[in-house]
Amino acid sequence: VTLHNPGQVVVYPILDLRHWKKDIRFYLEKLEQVAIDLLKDFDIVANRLSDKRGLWVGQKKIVSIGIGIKKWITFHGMSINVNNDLKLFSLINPCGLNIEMTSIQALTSQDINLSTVKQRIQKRFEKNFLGE
Amino acid sequence: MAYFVVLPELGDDIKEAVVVGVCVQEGDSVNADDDVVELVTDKAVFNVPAGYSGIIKSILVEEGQEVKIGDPLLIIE
Repeated sequence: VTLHNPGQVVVYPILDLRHWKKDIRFYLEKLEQVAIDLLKDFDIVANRLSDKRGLWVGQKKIVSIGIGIKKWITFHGMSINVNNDLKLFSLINPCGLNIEMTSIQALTSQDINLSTVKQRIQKRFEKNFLGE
Repeated sequence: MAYFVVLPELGDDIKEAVVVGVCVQEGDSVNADDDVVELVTDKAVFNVPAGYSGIIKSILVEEGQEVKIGDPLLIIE
């Protein structure tokens, strides 16, 4: 079970991995790096955990990742908690794990503009996937 | 002529995956492009295409089964 609500940015790249590398982990790590770089812009240090997907700040999850690949074309992607209502997550058991979620707003106590986040994601995406 | 459809290479560090769905039944006719088995690894869902056109002769895996790279998934004739 997962949950999407207003204030999350959902990134759903449709890429032909044959242009990069036919490697699921390569793609996941690139995608994670986009979010790690984005969060760094907000002075948030997010980490990968070896046994759980997604990105974490301490024991709290800030980015959820779930991807699909058909004929090396990607679908699904990741959702980044920006300023969404985190209370809703208590209604579900995210990803089958008994975990707590956090968001950029919860960690920075700032009002975060979603369109600024989207622009930054685009830049981070270009840097990681196109080397620009 | 019978062909084995095997779990292809999914990346440098990936050695196995779990079958989450078999999209065909024995006796089905498939095209090379048709997806036949759905697997999950690292929270990534990956669809394996038949690779050959023909009739599904035998399904060698079931839902929930862990398979390794190179393992046969089904036989197409």
